[in-house]
Amino acid sequence: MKQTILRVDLTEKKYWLEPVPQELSMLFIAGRGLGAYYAFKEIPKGIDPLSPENSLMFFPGLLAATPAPGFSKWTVVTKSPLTGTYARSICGGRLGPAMAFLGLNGLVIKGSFQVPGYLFIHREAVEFLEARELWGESTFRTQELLKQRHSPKVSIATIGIAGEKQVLFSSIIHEKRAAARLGVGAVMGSKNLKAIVIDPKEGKPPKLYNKERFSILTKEHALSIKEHPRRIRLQELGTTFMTKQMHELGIFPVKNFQEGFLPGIEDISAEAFSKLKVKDYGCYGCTTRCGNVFKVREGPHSGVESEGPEYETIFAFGGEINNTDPGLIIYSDYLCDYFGIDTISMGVVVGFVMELFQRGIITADELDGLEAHWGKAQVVEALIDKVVKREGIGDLLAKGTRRASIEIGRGAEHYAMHVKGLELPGYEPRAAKAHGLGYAVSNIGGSHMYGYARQEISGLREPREIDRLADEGKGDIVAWNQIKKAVEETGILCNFADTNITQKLISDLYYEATGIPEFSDLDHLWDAGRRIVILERLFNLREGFTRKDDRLPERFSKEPLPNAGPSTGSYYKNYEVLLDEYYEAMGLDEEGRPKQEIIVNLKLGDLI
Amino acid sequence: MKIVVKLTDKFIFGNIFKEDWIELEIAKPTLREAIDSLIKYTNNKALSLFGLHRIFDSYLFILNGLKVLDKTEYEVPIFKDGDTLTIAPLISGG
Repeated sequence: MKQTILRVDLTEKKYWLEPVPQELSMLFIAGRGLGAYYAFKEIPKGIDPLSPENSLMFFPGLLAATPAPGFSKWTVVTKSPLTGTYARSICGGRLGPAMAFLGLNGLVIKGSFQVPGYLFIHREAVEFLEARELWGESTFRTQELLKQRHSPKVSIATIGIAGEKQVLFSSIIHEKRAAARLGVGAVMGSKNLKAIVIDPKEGKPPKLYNKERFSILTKEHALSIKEHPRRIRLQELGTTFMTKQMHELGIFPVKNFQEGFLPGIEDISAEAFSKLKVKDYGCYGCTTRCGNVFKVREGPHSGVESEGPEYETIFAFGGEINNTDPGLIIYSDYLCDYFGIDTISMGVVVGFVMELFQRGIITADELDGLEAHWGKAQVVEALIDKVVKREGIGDLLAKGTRRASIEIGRGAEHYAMHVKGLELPGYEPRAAKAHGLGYAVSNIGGSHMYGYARQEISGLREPREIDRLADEGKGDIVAWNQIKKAVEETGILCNFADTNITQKLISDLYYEATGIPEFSDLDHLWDAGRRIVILERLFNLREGFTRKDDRLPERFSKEPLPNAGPSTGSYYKNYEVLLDEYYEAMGLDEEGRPKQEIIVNLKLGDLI
Repeated sequence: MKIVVKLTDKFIFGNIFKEDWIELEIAKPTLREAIDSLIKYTNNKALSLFGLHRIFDSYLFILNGLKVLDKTEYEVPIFKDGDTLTIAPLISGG
């Protein structure tokens, strides 16, 4: 297997190709695996994430641009300005396959443009082009203008105004999809890099080791999910179905994680969104097509259309801020994509402000005159606008809840719902304790996608059954989920297109794609997954993160969850036990450092 | 024995419930019996169209809001009088 990295120096306006050593491909495979390796090797300890020394890297997965369905995701890897940790943010669409068509398994960008510019990458060269006229444009308009200039078939990753202003939770937008989390857009903005344009013209899909066998595997899989109810439902209405399910179980966070009951939840249910659907959307080669475009039909936001919102955005601009107007959710989703900010972080920032206002910790005077009552649409719209432009209170809130709460003081930290600075997604930790532990020990902060606990959400009994409210027996499950996810993200497999995709099928596909015998060994893949997670942890340890950072907001250990159906009264009674369980399962010592035998067994000794 | 059946999104069965819950009489305390009774009650074929495997591919069956039932528990006595069975479409994701 020959893999190639494209290196770009924005300061010097130079680029060159570099082969990935075969040993690295064996150890880290591709996608997020290579991302973890290059992040650890190339991002110096202690650098400012918004300085030219930071690397901004893009990786497609091993199976990008192959006929394997659901493997078209790509990842951005960098040091996060929001958390100071390792960052990986995943996105769908066509950019990853476009890179693969050009034979690129990674793009490593260093330095910074003197004036706003963009990269045009095609089969012949990398062009360093000026973007003065694009600076200040929305993510949607930027893509429109660049497609007019180059070709309708190019793939574009761009930042919006929020990235330009270095909002610490700004995203990178591709089509209408987002590499949303951890402020990857701010890193791009700090480099004066408005966009990356990739033209796959005259490129070729990756050569497969056994095309015939690969084709049989993908066709069998496609047939097995064609009539599968999960796939059909995802195509029909995406993850909107989860809202009422999570609410029923007391897992849907309400009012900045204060409780678990939202009156009028029906108004933002799948049934309500089904009346607003316009069309669906799919990423490159995907047979699931889970993207849904919804249009507001009435009220003040009538006529607004957005791809999504998915469950997370329904949480962020629904339960989190005590809102049941789907129009406001769709409009907020649209604004976040238009300006290029993460919907989860933005929604949680709004919820944080509303709780501070409720408790009298912050006043309207400090909020530029905004009376931040729960669910008030004008407040939501104003705060989004102020944050992306960094005007007034928006300049403080653009730093995220952790930094904002410290600067505000007066006990505000207690109401900042984040882990390591990354705002929490839409699963109440007290009602799904493995999920919560997963947030706490994730190497990117409070993310549900670093090791989604399906055991708690959909009753998965692999590796075993768990009780979501129990105060022990979670650590091994969290470790298992993280490793499994890391394996999948070498591909890079989508969380929604994974119906009937087993580890065995992944292994078979990897082998038939590359001919590397080790890839047909499930233990080899599992070791690679663990290696990736451990190396990401080593990155954070080098930055000074320790056991004290692997924890949830204190609310979840001190306040029993009120008004949350069957989860009412639950809280973390002995969090340290769970943390010890995780450390043991992942091969870490009591301070969260990898034990020496793990370093040796995973062949990481020479790297660190 | 009576149990309460709740649907998280009633429209997935074509709005067969007027409310989002019903009280259901079952002769045996098993999930199989509950589903059979639900089909009879609603005279709706949505559930019966699937075989056992497909039912669990399609829906989550949650006992008293806490325990997601597995296909191995399909014919095992699980219900007590007054229990709640929540039926949700299987999605899971982010």
